[in-house]
Amino acid sequence: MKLRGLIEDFFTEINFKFCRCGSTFHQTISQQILSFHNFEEDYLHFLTQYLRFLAFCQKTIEFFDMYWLFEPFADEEFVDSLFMFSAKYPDAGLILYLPTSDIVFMLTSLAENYLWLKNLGLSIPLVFFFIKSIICTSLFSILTLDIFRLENLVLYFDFLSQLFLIYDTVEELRVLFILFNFYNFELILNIFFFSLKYDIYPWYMGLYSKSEYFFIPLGILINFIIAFLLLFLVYIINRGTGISDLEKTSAYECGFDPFKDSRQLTDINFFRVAVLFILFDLEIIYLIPWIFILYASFYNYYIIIGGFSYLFILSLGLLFEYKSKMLDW
Amino acid sequence: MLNSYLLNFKNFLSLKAICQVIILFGVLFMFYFFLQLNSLYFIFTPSVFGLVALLLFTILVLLNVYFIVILERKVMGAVQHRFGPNVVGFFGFGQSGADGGKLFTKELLIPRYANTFIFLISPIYSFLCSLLIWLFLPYSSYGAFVNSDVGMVFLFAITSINVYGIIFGGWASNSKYAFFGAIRSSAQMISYEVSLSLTLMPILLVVGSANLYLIIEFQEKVLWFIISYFPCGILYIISLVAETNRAPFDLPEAEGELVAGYNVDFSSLTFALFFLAEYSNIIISSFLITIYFFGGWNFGLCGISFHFEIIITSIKLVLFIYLFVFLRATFPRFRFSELMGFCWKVILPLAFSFFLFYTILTIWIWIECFYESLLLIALSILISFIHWFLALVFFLLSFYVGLVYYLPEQIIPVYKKFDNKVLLWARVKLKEIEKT
Repeated sequence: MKLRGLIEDFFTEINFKFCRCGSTFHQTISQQILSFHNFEEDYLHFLTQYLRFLAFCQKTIEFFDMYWLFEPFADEEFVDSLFMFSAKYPDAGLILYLPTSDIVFMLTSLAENYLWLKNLGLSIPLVFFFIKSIICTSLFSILTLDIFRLENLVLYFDFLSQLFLIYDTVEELRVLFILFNFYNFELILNIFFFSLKYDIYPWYMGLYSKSEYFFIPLGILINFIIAFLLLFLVYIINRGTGISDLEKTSAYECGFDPFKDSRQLTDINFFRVAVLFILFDLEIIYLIPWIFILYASFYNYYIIIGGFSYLFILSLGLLFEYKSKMLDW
Repeated sequence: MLNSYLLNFKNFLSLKAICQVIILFGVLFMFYFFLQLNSLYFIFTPSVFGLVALLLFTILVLLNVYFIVILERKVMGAVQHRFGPNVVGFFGFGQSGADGGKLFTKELLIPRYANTFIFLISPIYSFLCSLLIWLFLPYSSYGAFVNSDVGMVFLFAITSINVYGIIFGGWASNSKYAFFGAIRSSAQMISYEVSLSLTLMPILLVVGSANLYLIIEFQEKVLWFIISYFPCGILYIISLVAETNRAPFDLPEAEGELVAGYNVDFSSLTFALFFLAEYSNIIISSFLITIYFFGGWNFGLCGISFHFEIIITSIKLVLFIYLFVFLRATFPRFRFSELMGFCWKVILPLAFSFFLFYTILTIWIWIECFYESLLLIALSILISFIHWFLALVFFLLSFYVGLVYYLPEQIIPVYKKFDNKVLLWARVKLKEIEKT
């Protein structure tokens, strides 16, 4: 197990370099297999992706500049009403103030120090679920109030403004609150997470897209079109120039017409080479997955022996062919 | 053989030729620099922009082919004591353009008994296959158009598919020369393909993924595979030269026996497409050598910026293209039986044995002393040195064998005399030592 951990660390060190190039598809085979079991890592992976996406959201919001919506409220009456509200419910501000700041702080610290938490023994999905539940309760407590009353709206905006104030610590998370606190929080978030992971994030980052293989049929199509168009052009340009003649269109040989059909019997050696090729090509086709399995199983004894017995038989076959002069031309 | 080799080499290093080649290299570098479009694929996501990018990319690749044809002709001219193409355009750079124009205005002739559909499809097919590989080749650390996790396997697949173009072309034209040429070249390509993929298995085993990006990054972290897997690299280069049907393995183009191999009945653009495919295959093969064994965009000693990465890949690429031309200029052609024997009796068993050796070695290292990374590095360096030494010994041995068996009989006695003299000298010395 120690060895396994060491190997894992070694390859994670390598693979962190490839974050710019791609995502899970650029990991090694062993790490993919490991990460399949390691749900924490996976969760963190798309959380980081999501946080990156939130920066994008922030930019868009800044672009549309939603603050102008609050301008009509920024008059004396509005300020008075705020004071009045605070006078009426002195505890409300505190109640809202304390949990929000704490939640935000906790979230950021947890996101940054997840390894520390890991050492404590808390699994990260569990921690995040815990935090999420706190947020949801606080939000639902607001939403249960009558929003259409101005006082409660003010209260709500106060809540938002507190989020806006903590610029430096949580630039991204405030956008999360704006976008998702009106509806069924978790459901939409989960749907959105996965849509982000597979659709929007790669498009935004421009580093990796799932439909990367789309370039292959596209390339085939374009190259085919280029070649076909060129052929067609040549055919059109030189259509009338040549004179079709029986002698001219005959196959290239010496001065005579071709005596026989050219699809004749050939040397048996060519056939033998083809058969040998099939054997050895199959060998290689089996070797590639063998190597990956060997790598993924951290050099399991049985897999090594199985592969080597296979190779031994093949090498014996090659020796037999060599001795019986099948390879001579 | 040796005489001609040395003579050619002397001309190869002549100042005029070098000047011409340097100018050509400058032009080539320019075009390779434009190929960083390849690395800007993140702007051209699969869409209309992607289509435009691909079109631009293919045009650039074809331009590269254009210049490499001139390069080859220039270098060949310098080697053979003549001017290369020097009339059309500046330093004869317009020569292959003129050739292409000529081919474009020729009549598209289909033979009487040919299967027209396959006859017309086969050049398109080979052209398509050779251009398709370009999507997988990473120019710099920003990757390629298709950064697939099984890029190596894709490359195997496309190179193996490439044979069909030649077979179809030879069979469909329904003439004997073309048919035999096609059969020969297909047999050759098939048999060298096995060793081509077998030599890369140790690399797969070490890196643990078929991703080309990861393979190059591994080389940046540890060592270039040409140092750690020297014999495999040499075998790979030899089999690539055979795979692309280049000299000294250019049996399909054997003028003495088969007139032009599978190309005989192809005229105008059908021939041009085959030609383009062949030359883009040369660039691709040199690219593959750089990726698998010479560390792709790595400088070797230190990290470098994005633009330098592209320049370094292009330098390596042009050097290997130069090597291909050099091989064509110097080496004589094989006989066909020799060629097949060389593949099945020499290269394949060697590749097989090296594969076994390296698998055992890597498994041993991984099981026993993975946790001691210093030991691993020391071991790899030591093993590489042993390989270099062995390779040197074998190289010298091969020279000796070549001198004994392949030189004309007039020269052999000289060497025998020399050997006798050395032996006599040694005997005298031994006697002296015994006396003392």
